[in-house]
Order: sequence, then structure tokens, then C-alpha cells
Amino acid sequence: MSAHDHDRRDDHDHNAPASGPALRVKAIETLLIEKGLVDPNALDALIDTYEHKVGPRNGARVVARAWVDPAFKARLLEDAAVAIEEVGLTAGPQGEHLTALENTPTAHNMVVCTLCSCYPWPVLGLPPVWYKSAAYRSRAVSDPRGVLHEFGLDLPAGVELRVWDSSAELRYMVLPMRPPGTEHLSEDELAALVTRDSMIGTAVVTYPAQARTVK
Amino acid sequence: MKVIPPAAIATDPAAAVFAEPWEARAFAIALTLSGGERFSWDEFRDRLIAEIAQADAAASREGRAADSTLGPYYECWLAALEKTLCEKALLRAEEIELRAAAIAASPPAPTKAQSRGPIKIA
Repeated sequence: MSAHDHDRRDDHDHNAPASGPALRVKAIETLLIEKGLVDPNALDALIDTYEHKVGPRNGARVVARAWVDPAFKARLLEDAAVAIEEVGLTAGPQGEHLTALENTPTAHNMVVCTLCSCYPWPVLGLPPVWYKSAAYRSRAVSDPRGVLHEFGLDLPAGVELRVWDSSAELRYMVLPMRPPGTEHLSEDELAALVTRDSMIGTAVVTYPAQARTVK
Repeated sequence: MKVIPPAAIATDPAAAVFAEPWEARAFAIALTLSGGERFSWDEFRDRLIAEIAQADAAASREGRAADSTLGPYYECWLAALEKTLCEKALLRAEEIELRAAAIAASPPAPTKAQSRGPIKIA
């Protein structure tokens, strides 16, 4: 591997994509706009939605509702795509066949997409960088407990670890366990404890909320 | 058998959704077009899977761990988008090349006026 392979272009003039993928995307976008195939305002709106509006806070609301409302939890585990409408979410693209996986004291679930990056957008937004990495996609299958250890999570030996492979048809979200000592918290306070990683299955929810230690 | 050497997984929980603006544009273009009758999401996804498999194989062949932080994910996305657009005859490869060359030759004027400094210092 030569040194320039990882040469990141960090030019600060964002108006002038001089080369590389930024230039190609600009070329494609301007051509598509001229042909009337895409509307630049629609692209802006879509990016804003996925950068700022759709994110793991949506999923956190689903989890908190499931913790306080057993009937909702049952509906969520039965058909998550329908149940999330009760908290004002719509399955939409990438969520038509959403499935919730319940963590229990004896079983922990972890989600991966081994082929690309399928992910439950309506509840979690777009996947983090590591979810799309070759390392996670392969090692979540070959060494899932090692992966969890890197995330700072060591499951007891008696807990079964189930790894689920997402596909275009099936998107998974993990329903983490409600941490002990949270009986007095409101639904909103509970939602604030729920992290993105806990809904992918690479973390558990803790109370008080713990800052992740970076090793 | 494909063997990928163990690589650390960058687990930064605060990492941005898009590392660079072009990634967001490429994402949005594919999503917008796959929502209509131009092509289906599954058609695009099949191409994306193929591009990612190629990138993984290349990393494996070169004996390096597939990069866990600056992975070529959106470059795969872009390649899949280009191929889909060309296959569906929405764009031609040559016109993309020509347009890219034209943009490179004459970058748009900066939108922000630049100060030329004080006109006089007394």
C-alpha cells in the first residue's frame, strides 16, 4: 500500500471540488438537475432530514414506551413496523419490515449487515461509520464477543449472544433491557438513557447513564 | 476463503453521519431516484453490495485490514450510483467525465466575498 492511498483531501474551499469523488458527485448532480431528474432542494431536504431529524432519539422513544407499557411492548415484538406508528413514527423507506429483538437476562442480541449497511433508518437514522466498516461486518460474525469487548461490553458466559444479519427485507432493532433502579423515572427520562449502540446491541443501557470510556 | 485480518473497530459514538459533504449528496441522489420509477432500491442495493465485496476483496488481496475508520463505503456507494445511472440510461459515462473535467477546469467562484485587506493604513 502506498502512502497516497489514504491521502485525504482536506481542501478548505468547499466550493471547488478539484478532484476525486466530490468532483464526480458534483458532475452527476448538475447533470441530473439539468435533465430534470432530481430537484436540488429535495436533495437538501433529504440530507437535512437524515442528518438532523431522523436519528436514534426516535428509537429511544420506542424503547422507553416499551419499558413502561407492556401491551405496547407486545405489539412492538409482534410487528415493529406497525407499532412504531403509535409513537408518531412511520416505517417508510428502509423500515417496512422492522423487527424488534428483545434482550433478556439470558439472551443478548446484536445486529449487523454483513453485505452492506442495511439498518433501521426510521428508528435509528443512518448507521455510524463503524457499522459499515469491513471490520465490523466480518468480525461481528467471526468474533462477536471480541467485538463487544472492544465496545466495553463483556457479557456473562451464561448469556447467549445472538447475531442477526440485516437485509433489504429485514431490518432489526434491539430492545435493550431496562436498567435496574429506574422505576421512578418518567418515559421521557427513560428515553434519555437509551443510546444508539444499545439499540444495535453493542452496548447495554445503564443507569445512571455512563459515559463510554475510550480505550 | 476470504480472510480479513482482525482490525480494531472505531467505536466513536459521536462520529458524524457523513464524513464529507459529497457523501451526503451521493446518498441523497441515490435515495431520491430509487424512490421513483427510475430504478428500485433493491437494484441499487445489489450494485452497492457488489462494490463493497470488491473493495473488501481488494483489501484482502493486498494483505491489509480493510480500513475500519476511513472505509471506502461512500466511494462504493458512488460507484454503485454511477453504474446504476448509466445502466438505466439516465446518464452516460462520457458525459459524467466531460462534466467533471469542465468543473475541474473552472471551479465556481467562491460564494463568500474575500476581503482584500485595508485600502489604506495611515
